[in-house]
Amino acid sequence: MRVSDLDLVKESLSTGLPSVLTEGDASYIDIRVEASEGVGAYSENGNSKITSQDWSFALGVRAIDKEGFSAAGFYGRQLGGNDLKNFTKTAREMIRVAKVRARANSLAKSGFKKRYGKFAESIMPTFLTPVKAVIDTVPAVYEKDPRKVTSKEMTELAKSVSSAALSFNGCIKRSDVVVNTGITRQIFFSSEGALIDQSWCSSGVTIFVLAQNDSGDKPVDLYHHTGNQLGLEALIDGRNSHNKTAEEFAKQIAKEAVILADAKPAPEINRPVTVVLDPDLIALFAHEIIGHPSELDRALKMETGYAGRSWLFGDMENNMAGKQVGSSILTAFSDPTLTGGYGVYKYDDEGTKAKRVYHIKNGIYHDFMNSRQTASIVGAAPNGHYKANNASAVPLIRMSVSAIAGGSTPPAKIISEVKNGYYCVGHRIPSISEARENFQIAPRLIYEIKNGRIGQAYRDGRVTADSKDFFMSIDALGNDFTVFSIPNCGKGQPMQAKQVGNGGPTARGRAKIARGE
Amino acid sequence: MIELSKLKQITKNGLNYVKSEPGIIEALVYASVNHRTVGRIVYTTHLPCNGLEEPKSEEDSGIAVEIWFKKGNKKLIGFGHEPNDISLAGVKKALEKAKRDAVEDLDFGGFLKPDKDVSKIKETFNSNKLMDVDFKKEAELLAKLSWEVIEGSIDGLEQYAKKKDLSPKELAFILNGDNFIIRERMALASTNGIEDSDESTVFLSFLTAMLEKENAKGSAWGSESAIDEGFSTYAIGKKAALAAVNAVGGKRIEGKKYRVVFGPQAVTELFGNLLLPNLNLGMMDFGASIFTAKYGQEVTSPLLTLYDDATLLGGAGSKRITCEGCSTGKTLLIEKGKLVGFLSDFRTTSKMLRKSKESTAKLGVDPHEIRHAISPRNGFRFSEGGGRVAAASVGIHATNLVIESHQPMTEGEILNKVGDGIYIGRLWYTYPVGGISSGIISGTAIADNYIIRRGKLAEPILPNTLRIEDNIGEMIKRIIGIGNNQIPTILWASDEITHAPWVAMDKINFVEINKGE
Repeated sequence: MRVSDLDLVKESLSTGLPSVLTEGDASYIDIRVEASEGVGAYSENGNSKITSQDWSFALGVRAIDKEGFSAAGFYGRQLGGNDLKNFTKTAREMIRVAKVRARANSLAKSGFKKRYGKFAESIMPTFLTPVKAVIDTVPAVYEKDPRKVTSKEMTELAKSVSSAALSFNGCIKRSDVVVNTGITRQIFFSSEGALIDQSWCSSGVTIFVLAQNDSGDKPVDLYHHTGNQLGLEALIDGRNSHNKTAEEFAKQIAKEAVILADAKPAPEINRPVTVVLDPDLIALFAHEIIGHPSELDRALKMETGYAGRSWLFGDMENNMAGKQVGSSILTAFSDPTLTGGYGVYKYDDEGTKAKRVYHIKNGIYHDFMNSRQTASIVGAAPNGHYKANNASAVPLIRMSVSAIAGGSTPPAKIISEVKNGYYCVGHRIPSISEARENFQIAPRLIYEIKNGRIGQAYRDGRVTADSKDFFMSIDALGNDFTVFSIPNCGKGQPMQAKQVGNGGPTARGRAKIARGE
Repeated sequence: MIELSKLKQITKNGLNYVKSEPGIIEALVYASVNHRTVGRIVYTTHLPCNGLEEPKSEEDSGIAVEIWFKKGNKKLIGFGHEPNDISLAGVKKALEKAKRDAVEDLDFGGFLKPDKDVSKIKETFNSNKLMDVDFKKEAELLAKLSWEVIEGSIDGLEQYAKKKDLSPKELAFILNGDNFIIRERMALASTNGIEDSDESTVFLSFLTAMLEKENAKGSAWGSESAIDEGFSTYAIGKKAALAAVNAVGGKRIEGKKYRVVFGPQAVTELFGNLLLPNLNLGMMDFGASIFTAKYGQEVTSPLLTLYDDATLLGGAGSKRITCEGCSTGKTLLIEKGKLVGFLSDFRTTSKMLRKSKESTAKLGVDPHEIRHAISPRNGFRFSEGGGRVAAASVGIHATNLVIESHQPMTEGEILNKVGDGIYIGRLWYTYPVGGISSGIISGTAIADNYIIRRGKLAEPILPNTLRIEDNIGEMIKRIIGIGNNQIPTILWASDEITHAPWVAMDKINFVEINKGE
C-alpha cells in the first residue's frame, strides 16, 4: 500500500459512489479516506530497540439522517490492502452502517422530543452551516521524501541522537529517543460535491533523559519534542522550531537536565512576581489557556465530562466576546496556514477552507474555532477547525497553530528591565483547571533575575495564576515569535492524540511560583 | 466480528510458515480484532444540543509477526504488522516487514517461555451476546442506552426543578459523557510452545452532570463485563443528576493543609494516574520511579495494600492471558505499606534479570531473588480507547487495579477518623508537574467535594476553587484510613479499571484558586 494508491480511491469516489450517497435516508454523507507511509525507530542509550516501517489505510463515514428528527451516525475502520481492491464495496458497506446508526439516533431523538416536552426544547436537528463544495489538490511539502527513507537510516539516526544525549555529560544516566518521518494523504468526499485531496509530511524526534549528579540528589527526568510538517530535513538539517538537528536538540535537553540535577528546588513565591517566559513556554500558554477554551465545542459544553469547558463562554448572553481578557498588547489567534510546526492544513475534515481566527485582539476577546455544526448553533461562519487524528475517528474542534502574536521588544531588553523576577525556560507538564481559568505550568528551568541579570537556576518550580489575571499583567512581548510542534494534544473519547502547533514570543507578566519540592 | 477460531487458526498456520524461515531462533504470530463502540452524550437545557452527539465505532484487525533470528554473526529482532488481512498472505507480508526492519537489541534474549508452575486460567471474560450483536441491533442498543441516560438525568432533576420553580433553560443543566462498549479478540502462537487465545467484552459508562448557574457538578459511572438485553443506563443518568443537585450551594474554603477523604474518582486519579507509573518495571529500569532502590521497604502507610488482578471475576478489566501469552494473575505491588512487586512484561523482566548488577541498584535487591515480584503478567498491546491491537508493540499495562487495606473501614468510620476536614470526590488534570521522579503533583478539585464537619459530610465545596499541590510519594505515607467500599472506576484514556474505595489522608496541601482578586 502506498499513498499514491489513493489515486484508485479517488477514481472510485468520483465514479462508483455518488449514487449511494444520495439514495435512501441520508440528507448528507461525507467520507474521509486516509493513507500514511512512514518509518520510526526507538533507541535506548544508543542501542537499537525497535524500528518499524509501515503504512496505514483508514476510512471514516458521517451520515445525517433526514427522516425522523435529523441526527448523525458515524463509522470508522482501519483498512487493509484488500480493501483497496474492493474499495467501492467496503465504502458502501460502511456508509450503510453509518446510515443505520443515524437512523436509530434520529428515531430515538424524535421519541425523546415527543415525550420530554420542555426538557426537549434544547434538542435541535443536526444541521451543518453551508460551505462551498471545493474540488482541490494540496501536495505535501518536503525535500527528503519520507517514502525514500529506509528503516536502516532511521535506526542509525535514533542511535546517534540517543548517544549524543548520553555522552553529553556523566550525569546523564539514561537517554531514550524516538524518531519518525512519514507522509499522509487524505481524500475528503461529500454528498455536496466536495472532493479534496490533501497530503502532508511530518517528521519529529522525542528525547527522554534521566540525569543525576554525583551527590546522589534526586534524579531529574526530562523530555521534549521537536519536529515540523516537512520531510526528514526537519531532523537532519535542523529545519524545525528549535533550529537544531536532532542531535543538537538532544544535547540541549541533556544540558538542561544536567543543570537541573545540580539545581536547588524553586522557592515558593506566594504573591504575583515578575516572570519572563521564553517562546517555548508562552507557546504552551497560548495552547492551554487561549487555544483550548477557544474551541467552540468546549464553549458549548460538549466536552464538560473530559476536556472541560471554557472560561471565555458561559452562555449565549454571558461570555467574554467583546470584553477585555488581557492587556492591550495581547493578541492571540489560531491559524492553520501558519507554517513552522505541526497543525498546518488548507481544508479541515469537513472540507471547510481554513482561516486565521483571532481569539484576542489588543486584549479584547473576539472569536472561537468552530465546525459547520457548531457554527450553525452560534450563527457564525465556519472557519475550518474540525479535525480528527485519523480518518477512522470522528473529528472534533481542534487547534491548528494557536499562538500569541509577537511584539517588538528584543528579549534581552525584556529581561534587563526586571529588577527582581524569574526567567522561565521551556515547558514540562501543565495542570490546567477545568474551564482553563487557572493554571499551573512547569517550565523546564527557572532562573532568578536580579537587577536585570539572569542568576541561579532552580528545579521543579511551576508558574501558577488565574488566567485572566496573568493575561492582564502582560507588559512586554518580544520580537522573537516562534512556532513549536506539539506531538500529542489529547481530546475526545476515545482519546485522540493529535499533532498541533503553538507559537509565541518572549513575554513578561506576573504570576506566583509553586515550590519545587 | 471476525471469529476467534479464525484468529487461532491463522496464528497456528502462520507460525508454521514463519518458523520454516532460515535462521529463525524464536518467533511469535499474533492476530486480533477490536471494536470500540461509543455513544457520546451532549445534553444541555440552556444551549442547543443533539443529545446523542456521536453514535460511532472504530474497528481494527491485523496480524503481527515478531521474529528473533540470526543474520551473519548478529541476532536480530524484528516486528512486522499487516492490517485487516487475517490470512496466511497477511502473515507473509508481516514477516517480510519484520525481516526488513529488524535491529540488533543487545538486551533481547527471546520471547516468553511458558512457566510450567503457572496454571492456565479457564475463565473467559466476555458476553457472547454483546460480542456477536449485528450492526442494526448495535445501533439500536447504542441509541437506547444513550437516550436512557438522558431520560434518567431529567427524572433525577425533576424534584429540584419543581422545588426551585425553574424551567429547563433556567436550570442550565449539562449532561456530558459516554457509553462505551469494547469488544476484543486475540490469538497468538509462538515457537516456545504457546498457542492460546482470549476474548473479552466491557461496557463502561461515565457521566458528568452540572447545574451550571449554581456551579454545582456531580459524576456517576458504571462498568460491566457483560450486559444483557434488559440492561439499562437510566439509573446512571439519574445518579449523575442527583450528584449535581447535591452539590448546589457550594462554598469556598481557604487553602491550607487538610485531612481529606478522597472519593473513588479522586482515588483513581491519584493511584491509577500518578502512583501506578512508579510501579511499572519499565519506569524502575529508566530510573525515574519514586520507588527506585526501595524494594522491600515501607514506602506507604501500613494501611495500604495495592495489587493488580486480571483474573477478578466480573472485573471489567479482566483478561485470561497477556498479549505475550502469559497467564494473567494477581500481582501484589504494595502489601501493608511495603513495596513488594511491579507490573511488567517479559521483555522488561528479562532485561532486568540479564543486567542484574544494574537492576540491583535500581530495585534495591537482586532481581533473581524476587522473580515472583517482577513476573511478566502485564504485557498487553493496549491502545488508547481499548482493544488489543496488533499494530502496537507490547507495553506494560494494568488491568484491574485494586486498592484495599487489612484494616478496612466503613464510610462512617473513615469520616469519624477525619473528624473535621474535606471530602474530594473528583480531581482534574492531576499530573506529575515536576516530572515523575520528583513526585510533585498538581490538579484541581472539580466535582463531588464536601466539607467534613464532626465526622459527617456537610455542605458542598464550590468546584474549581481548590488546587491540590503535594507530593504523591509523601501523600501515601499519610494515609489514615481505607474504606471497604471499592467500586470499579475508570479514568479518561486509561487502560485499567481501578477498584477504588474511599481513602483518607492527613495534611494534604490545597491552594485556593480563581478568587478573582
